Amino acid sequence: MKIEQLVPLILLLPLLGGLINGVLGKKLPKKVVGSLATAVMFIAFGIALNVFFQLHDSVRIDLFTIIRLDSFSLNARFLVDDLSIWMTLIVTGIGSLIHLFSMGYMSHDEGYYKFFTYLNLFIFAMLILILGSNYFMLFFGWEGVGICSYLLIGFHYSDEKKGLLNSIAARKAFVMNRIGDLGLLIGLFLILSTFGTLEYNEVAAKLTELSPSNWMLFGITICLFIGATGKSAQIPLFTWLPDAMAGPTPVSALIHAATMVTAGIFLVVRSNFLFETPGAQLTQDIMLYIGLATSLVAAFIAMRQNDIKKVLAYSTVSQLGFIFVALGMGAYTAAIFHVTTHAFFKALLFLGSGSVIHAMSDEQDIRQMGGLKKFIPITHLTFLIGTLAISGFPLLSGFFSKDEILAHALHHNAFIYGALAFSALLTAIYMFRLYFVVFHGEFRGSDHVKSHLHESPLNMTFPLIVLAVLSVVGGALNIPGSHWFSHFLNHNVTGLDKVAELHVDNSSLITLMVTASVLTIVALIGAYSSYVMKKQLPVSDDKITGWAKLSANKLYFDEIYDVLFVKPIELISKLSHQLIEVLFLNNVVLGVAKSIGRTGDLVKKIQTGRTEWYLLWMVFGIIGLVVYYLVKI
Amino acid sequence: MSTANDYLPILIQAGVAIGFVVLVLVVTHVLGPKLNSKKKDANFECGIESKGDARFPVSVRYFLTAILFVLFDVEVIFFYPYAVNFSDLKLEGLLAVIMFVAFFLVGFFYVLKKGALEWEK
Amino acid sequence: MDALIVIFLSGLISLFIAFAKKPVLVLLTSTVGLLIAIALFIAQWNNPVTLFSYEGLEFTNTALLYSIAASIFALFSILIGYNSYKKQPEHTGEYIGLLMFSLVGAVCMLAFTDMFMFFLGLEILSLPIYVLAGTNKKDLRSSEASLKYFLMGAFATGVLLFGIAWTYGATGTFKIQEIGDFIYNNQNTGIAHSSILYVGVLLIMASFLFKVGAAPFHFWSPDVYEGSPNEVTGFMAAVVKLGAFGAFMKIFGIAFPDLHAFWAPALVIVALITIFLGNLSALNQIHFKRLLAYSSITHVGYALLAVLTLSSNSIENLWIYLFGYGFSIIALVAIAKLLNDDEDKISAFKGLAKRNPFLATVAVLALLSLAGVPPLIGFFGKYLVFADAFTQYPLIVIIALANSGIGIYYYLKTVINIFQKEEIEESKIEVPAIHIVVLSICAIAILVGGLVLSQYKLL
Repeated sequence: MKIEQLVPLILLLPLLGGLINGVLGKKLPKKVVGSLATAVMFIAFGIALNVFFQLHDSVRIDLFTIIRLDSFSLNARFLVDDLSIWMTLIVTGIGSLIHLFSMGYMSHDEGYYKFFTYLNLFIFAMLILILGSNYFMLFFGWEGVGICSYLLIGFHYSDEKKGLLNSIAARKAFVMNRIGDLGLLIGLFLILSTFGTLEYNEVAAKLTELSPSNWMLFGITICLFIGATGKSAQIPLFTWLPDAMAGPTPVSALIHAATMVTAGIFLVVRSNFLFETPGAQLTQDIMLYIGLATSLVAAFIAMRQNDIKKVLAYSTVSQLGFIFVALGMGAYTAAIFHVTTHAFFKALLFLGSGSVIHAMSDEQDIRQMGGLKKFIPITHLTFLIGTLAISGFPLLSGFFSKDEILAHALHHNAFIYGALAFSALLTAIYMFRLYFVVFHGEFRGSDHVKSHLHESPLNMTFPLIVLAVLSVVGGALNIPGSHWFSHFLNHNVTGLDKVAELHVDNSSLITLMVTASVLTIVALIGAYSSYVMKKQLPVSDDKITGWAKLSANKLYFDEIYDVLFVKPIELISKLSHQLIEVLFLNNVVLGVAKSIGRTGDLVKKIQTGRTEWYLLWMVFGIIGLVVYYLVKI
Repeated sequence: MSTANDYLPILIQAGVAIGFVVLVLVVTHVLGPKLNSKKKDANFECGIESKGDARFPVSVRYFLTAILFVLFDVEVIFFYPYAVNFSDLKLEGLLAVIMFVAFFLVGFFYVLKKGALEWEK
Repeated sequence: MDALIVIFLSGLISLFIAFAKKPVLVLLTSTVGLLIAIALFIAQWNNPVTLFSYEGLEFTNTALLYSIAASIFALFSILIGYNSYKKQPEHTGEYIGLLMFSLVGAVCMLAFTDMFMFFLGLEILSLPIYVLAGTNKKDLRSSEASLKYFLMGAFATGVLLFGIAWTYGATGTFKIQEIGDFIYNNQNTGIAHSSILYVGVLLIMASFLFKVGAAPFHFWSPDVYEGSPNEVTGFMAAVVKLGAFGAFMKIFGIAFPDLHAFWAPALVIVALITIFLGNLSALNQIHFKRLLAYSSITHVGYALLAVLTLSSNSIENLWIYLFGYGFSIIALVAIAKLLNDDEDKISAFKGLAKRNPFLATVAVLALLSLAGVPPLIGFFGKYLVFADAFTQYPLIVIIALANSGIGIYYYLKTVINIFQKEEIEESKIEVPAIHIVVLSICAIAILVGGLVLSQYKLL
């Protein structure tokens, strides 16, 4: 079949799965629900692979026009090029594995069918985001993944102990994302008013033709970036992501690590032609430094977190910051490369943590764990691979993708290189800390939990193994020397062919690699000595002091936001309630409504029900028209 | 193509007609002698004492038959102009009339089938 | 013309086949007849050659478009009424036959070329409706509706004839194209501005305003809508409005466009009064069909904006508007019929969401479409009409928009009722298969009709 026919099918399958499960799921047995949801994902992935091998030039697929006006039209149209098909592969591929994993992980859950409905819908929305040929489709998908993320974070809203907290976390994610969405929306309006279209290629084409002012370009790009900070959890909107760990672990793996949070990065890469204009220079710098700050801050906070998922969440934020640094330097392919490898190993780590949590009877505190490597060997091994990959252990995937960004940074500015390298070092340290505390030493949990410790079933370990393999070999995609991935992306993605590729000479490449390897190994040895040799353990919250306390309390970000934004807004709301609502609105608006209602009663009385009156009114009408004629003449 | 002025004769004629009616009514009322007595004001019923109400129910079939009569009667009226122009209208006219007759025969047939002309059912 | 004959003959056959006392045969005849007619209409698109033709009727694409919509709605009216018709097998033929004959009138009103044919069409459309309004023989309100409609309709007919006579007197022709040419050719002389012509235009307008139900000629509509059987109400709201507005647009667009400056201000005033009166009266209604009647008056006020604008798109915009309106109203009367509430209270909708989710969904869609919520078809109709009128009449469009806001109140009130708990536990509602088909088509049309239709330039 042709690409034009295949691509809509990729989207249709998850939608269909979601619809069937959503409507009939309650009545179907769990096995059918899960198998259906997973099957559509695997088929979609297969089709995506087929498209991937067929694709040469970028293809546009028209579905229908949503709104057509004289001045512009909104199209439901797909753009299939190497960037979108690559992202599609990641989303459907990792999505399939996570669906498979969820079949085991969620098997005891009552909302089984709801969970798979949401997951399928999420995939559908994410694919629209990726495959859409214009900013409107992107926005549609953007909001779609937002709502699915909201629903999934608060999935256990009726849980007795943590239900309320889950709902609050979901709400927080939603509100934080709304702030970013507003930025994105304004950006879209600016694009529309400047270029008169939302199609990517038309915007790119008109960019040279119209040459808008630098200020306008800055406005557009900064608004798009604000949107990206919301979805991709950058300072100042990153605080929702760690809280989003309230959702079931497969969700954290799929949405809050591998796919949705990369939407902001995708947006920037898609709009690279806008970001490469002189007007957007400032935006790029802002992006660079915000990314850097996010990376450092999140890595710092992750140092003293004791919740296994929180550590991973902060590490995700940190890695996303890393990628934004790359974007800020215009290293788009490096960014997408790291997105890819990050998707592999972060999904692996999250699923691994899910397997750990599953084994630990839903315990997430790493202080309750320890010595798990004996009990869950497959999980242990794959988790170790993930840890090594994210820490940038030589020759694993993370090593190459990080190295590419570091090379760009060194080329750009030594300070940025230093800061990034430091962030990478921190990453290695907290990841090894996590690994050693969880899997080595003695088991510290209760006996009850210990008796339940078990390796997960095959449908959970299989995704782990696949992801582990990918985490190991993923680096080969863009291995220095071949740079297959860069050529692949530059091939037919609008704008990317114009971005100059950085080619680092061999000697500095080797220097970079050696430095990175040394740092990682130092971190490994340090963590091993303190957490395994000295059997040092994370202490309880009230005993820590100094830097560690800052880290454990997440740099007091939530508290600062509370004082800066939430409290004043609450105050204003209260005032507005008293002044505007009670005094003004109640009297004026309700008064108007009441008087309209009363007029309605009056008018109703004209309708007497007597035909002679009706006729008389008609005669009045005709007389009125005649009078009008006399006046008019 | 006519203007308001062309309608003046019609207006005058209407005025004269209405004026005449009003005039006659008013004038006879004024001029006529008025002699009132009890016997003179009583209902005149051909010398027979009046009894019962003037308004009494008549079977709805009576009206039905009457209205059907009017209907077909009116349709027959259309034959007059056709009869006058019979030779000028040629075959086309004949066809039109045959169609017309067919239509109201269908109606007649319907009425018969419906039993509208059966007095007792 | 072929399609018109098919409709008429299938109506006639329905009338006679009913003597077999098998209602299903009547339904079959009329349905097949209408489907053939719709197919013929479609076949005639851009293809004026037909088997039969008559100079008084010209099936342009505009006429075909309106005729197709009218035929669809007539078919739906027959289908949703069938369940009650078949309970009186001796009258099924009359009910369905009269609906078909009325449709013949509507098609004549859409395709006429001279005032003579227009008048005939109007009468053929109206007379069966007068009878149909009274078909609920045991209900006094139905008889009342029939008589009231007849009396007032006769009055309006008189006014129309009077107006046609004046126009004829001024222009010397019945053909609307010739009237238009006459006014165009003489517009700089006094002949095209004689008082005879002006009065004629106003009288024709008055009778149109009666037929579509605009204030102050609207008084019949709430009583008649309420009293008539539901399917007849649906027919009146969908088909009669299509016919009347189509003819309105035709006469004022072809015969009197050059007098726009004269009649438009009067129509503006009428439209404004209509919008306000309809909306304000609808606010506190407790009877559902009266609510629909007043809301239809308001919708007429909005639709008049299209007649006022008379741009090249107006005819199509008006068609989309009435098309969407027809689906909503037919769905709603069908649902109200299924609720089987003698008093026809809005509160009868309470608990519908529990009692039958399918009906509730369709009802909510139809109501929201009437309220003009995007992306339903009602939104597109309203949007197109308003957007078209905005350049010429910005103030009136703004007032109309504000009134749309008021309108949302009473539509949502009904929607809320649907989701409220019922006071007395009531059983589930059985929906006959015919209704499921009709309502599903309506729901789909409401959902995607606007999106699809706005893609194409039909005329």
